[in-house]
Amino acid sequence: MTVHPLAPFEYIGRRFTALLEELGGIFSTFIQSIVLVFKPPFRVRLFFKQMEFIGVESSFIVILTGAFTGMVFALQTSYAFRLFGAENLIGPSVALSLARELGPVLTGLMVTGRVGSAMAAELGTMKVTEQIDALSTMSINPVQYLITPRVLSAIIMLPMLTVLFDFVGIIGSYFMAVFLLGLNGQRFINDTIYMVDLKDIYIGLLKAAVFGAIIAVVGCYKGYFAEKGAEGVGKAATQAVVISSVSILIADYFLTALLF
Amino acid sequence: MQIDIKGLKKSFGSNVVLNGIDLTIEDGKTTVIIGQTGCGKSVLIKHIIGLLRPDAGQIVVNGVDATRLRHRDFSALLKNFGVLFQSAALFDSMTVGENVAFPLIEHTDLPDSKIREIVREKLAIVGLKGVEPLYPAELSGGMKKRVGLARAIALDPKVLIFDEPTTGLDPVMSDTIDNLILNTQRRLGVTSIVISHDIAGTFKIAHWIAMLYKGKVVLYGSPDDFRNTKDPIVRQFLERRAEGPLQVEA
Repeated sequence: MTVHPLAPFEYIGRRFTALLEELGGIFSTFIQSIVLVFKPPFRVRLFFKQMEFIGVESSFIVILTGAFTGMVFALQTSYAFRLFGAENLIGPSVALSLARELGPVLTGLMVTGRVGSAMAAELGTMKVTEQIDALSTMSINPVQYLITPRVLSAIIMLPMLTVLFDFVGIIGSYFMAVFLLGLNGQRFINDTIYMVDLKDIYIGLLKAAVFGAIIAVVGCYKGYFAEKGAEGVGKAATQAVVISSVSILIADYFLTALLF
Repeated sequence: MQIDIKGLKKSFGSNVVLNGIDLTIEDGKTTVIIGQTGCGKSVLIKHIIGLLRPDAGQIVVNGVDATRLRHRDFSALLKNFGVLFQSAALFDSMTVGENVAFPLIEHTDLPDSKIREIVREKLAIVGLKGVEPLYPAELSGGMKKRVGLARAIALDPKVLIFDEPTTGLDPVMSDTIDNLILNTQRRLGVTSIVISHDIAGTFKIAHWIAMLYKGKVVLYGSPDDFRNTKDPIVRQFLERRAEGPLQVEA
């Protein structure tokens, strides 16, 4: 079998066009969902329901991840700092890392696994069982009804979960440093407060809000355009998690480079 | 509400699905659209309810071209339509009562007590009683269709659209649904459009029948016109024969 000499270029071109189409679709879904926030009817009940699902119901997993991240980070840094007698830097370095990077990124990744996949699966099932078509035929804008409350709630709840992650992580590292490594508790607190700027926390929270938007928009987009029955729904959920996770890491790099 | 479909065309890539459909859906009558799987029946319906935009042609509802309406005006027009989807499309996170109440909550300012009363009344029309607290997952296929119909008639629409209402149901339940379509049409005087593969049911409920073939209407007429036609395509379809001009796509 002979392969046309231009076939590889055609393949690359097709894939690139598909990628651009998908990015355009995701961006357009985001813009639509945000514009519809300001257009009645205002679906307050749905908004609170999503805040509960994305925020309150994710808090346990965030607390667990935050506590162990803080603890292990304190343990790891203690080995290095002890070499040149700088154990007092454990608190500030853990707090800075959590506030600037680990808090928003790990919260984003944990919520992606829990919420992004659920959004894609729920909307995907609604799509393949014609429930989204049913909404449209009842003169209800499915984007406003399904996507807007999810996107807005994720943008608001991700920073809150990040605050929780940071707080629990610092408590975890305090516990590790003071009770297991024998550092002075008051000094740990003073050094941490002295070294960590409010700006570090604000920018971390801004990152979290961006990650929230990514998780909700990608999850909703993949679900909303799911096809081919159960297989399509499964694929949508997997793709939502993969795309959101990678996008969070890429966005984190650019946000760090731009904001710090 | 009379619906005139004029020269409707729709393609997906190189696949021409509707190739100039001309069809009149008469006010207050039941029109059944039949044809092979994949002949474009569902695509035609999706154009009528605005889920798809045509490449060319018009859908004129009471003298207004619906394909050219602005989003807001089309939404207002759509409130006159009730749709029973093939899968019933009940919202599975809501109870039966919430499903039927949903269009009323969204589009009216009625008090809760009145909405509950209407829900009971619509469920009674489709022969269901006391099922409000159940979830769709707890219902049989036939019950789901009936709840779907109750939801479709919640706002007293002028046009009812049924997408393969008896597919997947046993013959007795199919006949029950056909009776429901007949009774609903007579009771409410609505214009009904039914997509169907069920020949017996079609002859029972139809005032008019349209058969689609290769993206066009191959025959439009009364049930008697269909019984007496000599068109080989229509005859093969009605007689359920594999041999003939109609071929199953590989």
